[in-house]
This record gives sequence, C-alpha cells and structure tokens, in this order.
Amino acid sequence: MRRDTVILYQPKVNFLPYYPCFWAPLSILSVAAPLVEKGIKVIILDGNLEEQTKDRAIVAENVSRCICVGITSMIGGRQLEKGLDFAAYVKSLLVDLPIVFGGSLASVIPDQLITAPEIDFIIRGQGEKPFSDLVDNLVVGEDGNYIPGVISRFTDNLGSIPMVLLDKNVFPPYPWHLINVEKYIRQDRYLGQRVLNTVSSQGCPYGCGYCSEVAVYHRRWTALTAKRTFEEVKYLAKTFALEGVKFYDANFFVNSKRVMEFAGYLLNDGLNIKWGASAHPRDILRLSSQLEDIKRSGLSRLLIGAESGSPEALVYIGKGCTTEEILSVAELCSKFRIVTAFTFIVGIPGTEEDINVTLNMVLRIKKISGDFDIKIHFYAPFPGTPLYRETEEKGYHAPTSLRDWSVYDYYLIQTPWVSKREERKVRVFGDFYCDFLYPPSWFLDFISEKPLVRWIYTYLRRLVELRCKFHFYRVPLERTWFKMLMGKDIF
Amino acid sequence: MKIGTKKTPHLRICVTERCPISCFYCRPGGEACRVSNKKEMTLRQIYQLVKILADQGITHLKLTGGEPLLRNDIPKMTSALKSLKGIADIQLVTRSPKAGKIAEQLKDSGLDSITFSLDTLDPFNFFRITRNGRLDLLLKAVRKVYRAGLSLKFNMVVMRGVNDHEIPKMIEFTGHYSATLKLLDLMNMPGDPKFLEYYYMPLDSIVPDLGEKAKSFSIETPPGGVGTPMPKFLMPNGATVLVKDARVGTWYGDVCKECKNFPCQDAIMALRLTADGCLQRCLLRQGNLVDLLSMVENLEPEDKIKQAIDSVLDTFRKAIYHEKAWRPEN
Repeated sequence: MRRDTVILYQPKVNFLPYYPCFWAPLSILSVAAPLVEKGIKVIILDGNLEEQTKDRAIVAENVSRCICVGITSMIGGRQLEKGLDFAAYVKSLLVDLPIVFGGSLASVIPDQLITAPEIDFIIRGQGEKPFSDLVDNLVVGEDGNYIPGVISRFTDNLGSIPMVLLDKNVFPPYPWHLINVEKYIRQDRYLGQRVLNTVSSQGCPYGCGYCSEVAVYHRRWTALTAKRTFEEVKYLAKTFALEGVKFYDANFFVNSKRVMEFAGYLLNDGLNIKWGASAHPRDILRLSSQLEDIKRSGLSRLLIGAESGSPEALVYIGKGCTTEEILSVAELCSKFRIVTAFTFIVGIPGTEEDINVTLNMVLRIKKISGDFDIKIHFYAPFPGTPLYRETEEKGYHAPTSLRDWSVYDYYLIQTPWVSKREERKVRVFGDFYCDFLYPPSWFLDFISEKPLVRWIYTYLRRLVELRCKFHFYRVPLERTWFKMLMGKDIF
Repeated sequence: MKIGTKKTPHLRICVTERCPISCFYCRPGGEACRVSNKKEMTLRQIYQLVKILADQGITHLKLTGGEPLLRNDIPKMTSALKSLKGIADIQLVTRSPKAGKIAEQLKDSGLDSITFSLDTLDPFNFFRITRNGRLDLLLKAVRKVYRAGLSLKFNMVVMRGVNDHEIPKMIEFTGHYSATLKLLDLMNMPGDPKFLEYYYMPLDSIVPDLGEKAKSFSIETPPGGVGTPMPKFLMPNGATVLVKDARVGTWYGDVCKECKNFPCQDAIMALRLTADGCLQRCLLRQGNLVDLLSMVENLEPEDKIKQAIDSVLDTFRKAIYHEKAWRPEN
C-alpha cells in the first residue's frame, strides 16, 4: 500500500487544577502545515478530545499507509507518559513505523528520550522544516541522512545536531481544516464568548535564567509579519465568528513596529475583535505612548512575567527590568484598563530571596487594580536554562529516567529548599488572600446585591488586611467561612 | 446657541497624577488617574506658571490630581498662589483622609473651599467604587474640615445600580454641613463602549423631584461661563444641590470642529494645567497641548508665551454653546 499519511498526536494533559482547559494543538498544526502543502495526508489526533480507544482505532485503520507518527510533549501534565504509551501502542501495530518525538521536552532532553525503545527520531526546536525533510527522507526510504534539527537513534554526537529556527514567514498558515476548531473555542471573561488561541512568533530574545524558551530557542526569535498575523486573525474571526484571539507567543511584543502595524491593520479594517498576548515589561514600557492605540485595536488581556519583588532576584535571574518598571507597567495597564495577569516565581536558588518581598510586590500590584490576575509559581529547574547548573549545585536532583520525567511538572514543587509550610503559605496567599484583599470588579458587582455577604466581606476584609500586613496565612478561616457562605471557592 | 462668553475659564491644576485609589469610573489620562508619568511640577514651577496665567485674567483655581494631598506642600502652595494678584478663589478637590489632619493648615493658607469626591455613604459601595478606600476615615476628615471652618462641597458621580438610590441620603448628609452637593453624570470611558450602557444614569429624571422639594431654584454656570449650565436647588435642610447633566448642552470651541470626538460629553469646561506643565483645552485630546513649562524654563520671550496662552484662552472666549449636542447613545 502507498504510504502517504502522517499521524500527529498530542497526548492528553492531566487536568490537575493547574491546567483549567486545553487549547488548539498548535505545535502539531504548525508541523502539519508544510506537509499539507506537499500533498501529504495528515491526521491530527488530540488526546484531550477523543477517548483513547477512538484515537487508537484511527491509528490502527491508517497504520499501513503511514509514513511516520509524530508525537509532541510539553513538560508537565504527564504528557510524556501518555505519549510513550501511545508510541508503544503504535509499535505494537507495526514495529517498523518510525516514531518522531518533538516539543519542548524533546528539545531539552533529547539524549534521554532517544534511549526510549519506542522512539526513532527527535526534533529539536522549531519542527516545521526538520520534520518536513525527515518525512521526505522516509518516503524515499532514506532514514539515515543528516538533517539539521533531527536526532536519530543512530546519531553519535547529539551536540553536533544544530537547532533550527527559520523565519516563520516561509511556512504556510496553520491548516485549521485538520481539526474541529469549534471544540477549541472557549469563553473568556474579558475577551468574549468565542475565543481561540493562536501563535504568531517563536522564541524570545530575553535571557531569563529560568525560562524554557532560552533552553529551546537560545534567545532567538522569529515572527510572522504584522500583515500576515492580521490576515490570520481576520481569517479566524470571519470563519469561526470569533470575538477574541489569544496569542500564545512567548513574547508577542518583541518588535514594537510589528505590534503597531498589527494594531493599525485591526483599527483600519474595523475588525471588531479583542485580543490578548504575553509581554516582557520593558516591551510594554517601550510602547507606553502608543498603548492607547493598541488598546483601541482590541488588546484586552496581557500576561506579564514580573517574577519577583526582590531587585536582587531580578538581577540574578537576568530578567532585564526593575521592580519599579514592573509597577509602571501595572499602572499603565490599569490606566488603559487592560486586564493583566502578572506571574511570579518563588524559590529561585542563589537569591536567598525572602518570599515576603515577592508577596509584598504582589500586593502593590493588586492595589493598583484588583482586576489584575496573579499567578505565583515555584521555581522549577529546567535543563539548558542559565540557572540550571547552579540549581544542581544547590542540591536539586534532576530526573534521570523517562519515568521520572513523566511525573515532572513545573506546577509542583521540584526543589528541596522550598518547605511544605512555605508552599502552603504561597498557595493560600495566591489562591485566596491577595484576591480577597483587592478583589476583581466582577466579584464586587456580584456581591453588591447580597447585603449579608457584602457586610461580612467588609469586616472579613479588615482581618485579611492585617494578615497580609504581617504575612500570617496559617489557619485560613476566612477562606473556609467565605466558602461556606458562598457555597464554593469564589476566586 | 449662545456665542462667546468673553470670559476667562477657571484653571484646574493637576498637581500630581499619582493617586492611591483606583475609582472604576476614572478615565485613562483624566485628571483623576492613578498613573504617574513621573513628571510633577515643583511648587516654584506651579507658582511661576500660575503667575503668568493670572496676568492673563485667570481668577479661579482648582487644585486637582490624581490625589493632590499626596503632595506635602499643598498648604504652602495654596498660600503662595493666593498671594498672587488676581487670584480670587482656590478650591481643593480631594478624596484623601489627610484633608482632616491638615484642615487647620489649609484654612490658614487661604484655601476657600474643599470639594470631597464622595459618591456614596455605604462603606461597601465606597470600597467597590474606589477599590482601595476607607469611608470611615474620609467621613472623619469631612467632620474635621467642617470644624476648621472651611466651606465644603461634595461631588457625587451618579451611577445606575451602584449609588443612584443614595441621592436622598447624600442630600440629607450634605444638609448637616450646610454644604453643596454636585450630582455629576457619569463620563464615558474611551475604549469601553459598554461602560455607559451599564452604569449611565440620566440625571433629568431626578430634577422634577428635586424641584418639588426645593425651597428655591436657579441656574448656575461654572466660573468663566463655559461648561454645562446646572440647575441649582436650595433644599429645606440647608443643602445646595447642583445637577450637572451634559445632555442639557455645553460649550464647544474652534478646536472641536475638526475633532473626531465632536460632540463629546466633556467639551471645553475649564482650562487645565497638567502635572508636567502643559496647558490643556479638553480631556480627550493630547495632541494640542501647549508646553508652558518648557517655554518658561527655556526663557522664551514673554510675548511668545503670552501669545501661546492667548491662543488657548481664545478657544474659550470664542466658544459656542450647543444645546443638547451630546447623547449617551451616540
């Protein structure tokens, strides 16, 4: 039978509380795009959507015409475990069918992954071109040829395989027709009822010491042009009647000119769509005088990596901005009513950082606007990042087997120097107290019609004010009482 | 349509853009915005600029922010500005409990009145609106200011479903201090088209009721004659109630003709001096500011400075009144 099909699989993400929903499988869609252009049949399977048996039935049906099976895995959500299970199943059907692993995990631990008996090839970094070349080779039966970005089980010196990052504009648009887009459209409180995610760039030029982007892309960055980004958004908005688009770029705002052009296209076209994206604080400050126009173009959500309230820690991790700059960004976002999520990391090695300093910074930001979201993470060491070596010297032991990597999750405590007590303190503060003290407007609107609740809230807030002043979060009675009153956790 | 007031508007001096609270109706780039661009004039600079403006006919001043009392030199500033020839009236617009602590100093400095932004008498509602304010502390400050003998005014932005039910309570409260209550219509929020839809409360609905209860009624125009004319009611309990409803009509200048926002809700109601020393004709546009501070600091010729001020004042002098020009649904 003629081999003309490629199956691309995204393993299910374990839906712990930290992964509230899943989004469109952009990583496998992007590697599918060049294949579709070449006329290769691509089947996209998303473990988050289908029952395992259904996915497996599709594989069984198509295995004889398959050129290879591609599997992606991020770090966390037990995707690796499920990816390896899937690979083992494919091999049980047809042992010679090549299995190709890609994604962020494969990019940073290729040496460990390639030892897995189920895996034949690893793609490091941007996968579009390497995977496409590999498929060409496999079609003609040439699997041993050297391809930049591709590691095979026969590669002797893994370090000699360069990571590829080509201009994103040379690749065709996402083949959205390969997936059921409706299943990925989500409601977002600030962007609208029908919101879809997309990506317009890869990598990030900043060298933050903890960031996997540095490990995967080595501070390089490539992006679609403003025009192409706009055309992509317009296509999605018109085709799927979207109200909002979320850019899952590591840093959408690297190139100010691109951002302004993109905003200009949206304004001139009159496309009534809201959008959200991630940014480095410095990039927003650089655009401060144009932020009003960007807001008018529909920008309604921002994700800003603030990381720490300690100036020393910011220098240590190479964040490239100061606490004052982060606060200025918060003020700007408040000024233009851009609902912003600020992320923080506690437990960074080598900073001897006082967690309370970061919690104080969180409170300063929340005081600027209760509508800001705060997400506090615990530092999770990541191979290939600038801080990784020092982390090992401090007593961190990295997973040594794929089984250990399977359960690795950056939402969970990985480092021995963060105690359980500190973890509880940070979690209860981040999940409840900071929002209770400076609540979002929807919450105040919600309880304004409930006289008893607002009365209780007004007085409990005084208690919480004291707690936050002294950073005493043990025995969180207010949380329990409020949960009893409301019947559920409200934040 | 009335043509030309031939009067000079009052001057609102934004002494700082900093603000410790985040009222949810506060506009980006507005007077009361919690964003600091880190530029703030010194007392000497404010004095110099107001002196020049007083020479051009400015008589009434309002010290606004941000929150003006975040500066520690407000009593000193009031005293210095009051000493300028021509300055007849200085008001302070604040929401800070600090006003109570320095009430005596403010009184001694020559301040004529304090306007408290007080939208509600309900502690929860106060917090809901300001996001970070304590009503009890502010009310304590009001009492202290009253005892110090300063004239009191209250500004209440009326919002549907938020505080519209509190108007009678606010009138009663104002009566205790024989003060003035100004009921303000909610201003639109650039970039948020749904804002007015949610919260706008047409103030004409309350005028007949106030008329019935009032002892007397008249029409008041803001100092300088520009701005929305306001019905003024003297209530039996001693409170004076002003109703500012932009739908009645207001004044638009020559600069408004080409403006994309025309007819806007604000129009030109007062001359503003921004925290970084620029003259501003209206709130919605930043493109036609006159950088007065730079001109003075760079020792530009006096004639050139006067000419620049004159061009701004001409906007007000030649303003035209448009009746019922703005509508919230536009």
